[in-house]
Amino acid sequence: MKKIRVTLGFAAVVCLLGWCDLGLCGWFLLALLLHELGHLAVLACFHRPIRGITLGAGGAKIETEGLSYRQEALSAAAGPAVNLLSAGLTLRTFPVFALVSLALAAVNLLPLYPMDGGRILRASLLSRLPPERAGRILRLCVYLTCTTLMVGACWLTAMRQAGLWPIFAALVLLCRAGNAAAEIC
Amino acid sequence: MERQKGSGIATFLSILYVAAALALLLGVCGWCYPEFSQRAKEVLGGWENGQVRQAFSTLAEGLEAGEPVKETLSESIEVLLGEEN
Repeated sequence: MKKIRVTLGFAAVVCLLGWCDLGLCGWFLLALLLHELGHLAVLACFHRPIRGITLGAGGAKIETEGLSYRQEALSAAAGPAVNLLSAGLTLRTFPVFALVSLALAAVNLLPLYPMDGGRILRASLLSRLPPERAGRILRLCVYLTCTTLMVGACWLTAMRQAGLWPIFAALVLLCRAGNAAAEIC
Repeated sequence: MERQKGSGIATFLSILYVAAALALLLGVCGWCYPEFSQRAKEVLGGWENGQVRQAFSTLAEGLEAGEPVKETLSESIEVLLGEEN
């Protein structure tokens, strides 16, 4: 591996989380570390070279090359799988860590490319269907997910007085999905 | 024909994946906010007493009658959440 880059966005997110709750920030960093180790372990099993890791506000990006669709799907699934496993194992002993791990897995499994769920779905579809059909199905999934998230966020804000954070979180996901929609296939 | 069938199955499985991913997220939210979880259970429980079916028929009828989409959607959500007058 050549280098690990940390962006200002990642540092800002960690500082913000640490300022809100230091313990929660620690559990989040541990869950994130396990998540990325899951990806790296599968890539190492496939003997794929890793050119670098960039830690950004929206998560970590591992730069690699020459992955087949099957390898991409498996390496993308490994991160959330490790989080789900660690959540299951620590549910009774460290419930806060279990919850953070579960939340990290749940967000990453959303079918929004380039998040892990989107990459799993994209690789699985492209391995079986022509690119234009796969692209159409992926856009439908992005549309369904974003609509549901936005309706849920608006409902939480308007009906349950949950503040503006659900809408803000849904908008961030929406923007990421929108930017990535053009490069899906 | 075979390709169309394959594409249909892929679409169905993809939508199933979307539903599972959203259900997992809903589960995590429900764990964090038990009150939200209770409300979600009530809404999903509406399937049994026909609330969801009624919401769909309100949506379909409104769209067929050419009513504005915004109002029709709003009415359907009110029916779904059991907040009709």
